[in-house]
Amino acid sequence: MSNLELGVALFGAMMFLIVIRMPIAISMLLCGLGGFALIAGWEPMIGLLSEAPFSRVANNELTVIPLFVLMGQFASEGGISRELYRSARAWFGHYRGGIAMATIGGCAAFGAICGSSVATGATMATVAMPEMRRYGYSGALSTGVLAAGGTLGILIPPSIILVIYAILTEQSLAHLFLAAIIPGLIATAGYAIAVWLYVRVRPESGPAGDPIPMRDRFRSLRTVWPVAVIFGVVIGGIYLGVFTPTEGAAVGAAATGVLSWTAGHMRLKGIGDALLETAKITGMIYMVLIGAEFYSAFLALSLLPQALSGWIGGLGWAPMQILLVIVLVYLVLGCVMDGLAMILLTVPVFLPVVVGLDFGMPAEAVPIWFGILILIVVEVGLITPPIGINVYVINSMAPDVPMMESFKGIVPFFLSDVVRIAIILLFPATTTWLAGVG
Amino acid sequence: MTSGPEWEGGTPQDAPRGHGDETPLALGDVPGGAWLARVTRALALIGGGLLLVSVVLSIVSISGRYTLSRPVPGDYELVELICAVAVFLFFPYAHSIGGNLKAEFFTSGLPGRWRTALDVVHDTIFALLAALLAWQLGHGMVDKINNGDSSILLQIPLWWPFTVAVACLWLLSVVSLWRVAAGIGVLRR
Repeated sequence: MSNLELGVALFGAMMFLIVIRMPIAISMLLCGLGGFALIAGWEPMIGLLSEAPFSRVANNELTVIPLFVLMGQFASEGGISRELYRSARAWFGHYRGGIAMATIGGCAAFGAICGSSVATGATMATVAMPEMRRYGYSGALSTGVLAAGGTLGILIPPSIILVIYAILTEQSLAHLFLAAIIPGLIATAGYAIAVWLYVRVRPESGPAGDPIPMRDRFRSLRTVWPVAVIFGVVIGGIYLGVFTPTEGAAVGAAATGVLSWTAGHMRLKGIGDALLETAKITGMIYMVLIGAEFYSAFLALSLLPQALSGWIGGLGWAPMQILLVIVLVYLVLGCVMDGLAMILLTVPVFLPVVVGLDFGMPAEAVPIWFGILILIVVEVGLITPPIGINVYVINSMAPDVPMMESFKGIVPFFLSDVVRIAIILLFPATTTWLAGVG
Repeated sequence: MTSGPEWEGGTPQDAPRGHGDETPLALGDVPGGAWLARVTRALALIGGGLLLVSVVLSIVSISGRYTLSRPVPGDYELVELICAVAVFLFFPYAHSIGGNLKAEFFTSGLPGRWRTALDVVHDTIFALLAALLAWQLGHGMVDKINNGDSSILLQIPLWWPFTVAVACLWLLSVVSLWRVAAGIGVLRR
């Protein structure tokens, strides 16, 4: 069996193991180690084992992950979401569908200090859901808007998915974060437009709320501005090189912790819960990263990515056609696979293909643009059936809403996602311009 | 559906806990399991405390750099090693509460006993692989002790964090074995 055939065979074996619910970290580790030993020999594999698991974890660039996770957990514990939502509600709630639009706004603001989407959706749901139901919003709209709004958590930086992508592809984290800002704003606007269209078609599903006096609206901004400052300091500081990404994450975690303590109601128990939750999420991410380390070592030896790249190049398709096919593959994969696993498994294979294509832009801009596309596709996977985790989590918090209703409520937001993917495919500058690489 | 704690989100305090893990294996059902759960939880909290230490250290270092032009010497190195130790301390806890990423979608139609049986097989492999990593990393640790490898700036002996890593990987293997026992217990019922 040639190395290439071995690469294909073990990739298939790994997918099989994942399908029969073996933990993804272990599937990758098992096939990676096996393949590495079969190609390079047992001795080098054993040599790799005595160092790589430690050096993968003790890695300066990766240190940013537990700290950003901690920042998001602090944000979730302290009830900051309540304050952000109240403010958005005060400003937009009196329009038709406005309480749902406020939910989008609250999610976007919360996403600026929280890098994950289930956390964003679920934390916001505890405050936004009762308000929407109180004003008679339909179950479909109120669960749909929360599930979709939650995805803004990973789209708007800081984003754990982008950190992983940056490390995997050796791209600048600062560039990727900046590149995600405009798509994040487009997403927020797109979701608000989706709500607006929704209530035009079905006015009964999102009536207008009571207006809030102007004075109270301004007063409600008092938690919004610290969040904006934290976001600006962390992202700006990393970009300007005031501090490293790790230090930026540390500053963000500390500032969010202090905000949750003072403006929210996080106390010692909340800190303990945040730490345990951070331990769970971080432990899980790193176990997958260790598995991915051995898997990519094997993948590189098998020369599978180069072979695929050569094969696709031989098809004679236009670069945009190839990219479109890759995006479609990701959309399908995202329906049945977790985003992190999908990225770790496929980006080492697909990125060389994409970078080898001529899109008429500087070579260093392509991985940034592709990274944001991947991020959006992962985000879409969180709300599409059958495993759209956001929809399940939000639905479980609204016991009277049938699951089908929630998935129906997702449709306008999904369409808005499709439009956004098209915009970013057609206008790469939406990502590369702010990052300064276009 | 993806398993229990979503890798990128986890369940915030107010959200329903344990969402998604359809066949949770409770360590407490096995003799010594409750004790094991307490130990892993305590280690995770220590790891969390170390994260807080690295947060404070980073901030002290940034302030020192810009106000006194004096950063904490070797700060990056220290933060990196502290966080690495913290992450290894997280592993046994994350696995003990079933916090491993897996694709539940394809097997969600199977009877519960089948899923538990698959989990028993996977946890057995998990235990073996964790032991292999621990054993080989142990060799790396012995090398570090013998040749006195230390970090570049602060000269921290590298065998020290290695020891924590090796111990935590052995504990991870033990946790997997206890999960196997818990799974077999469920199957017998």
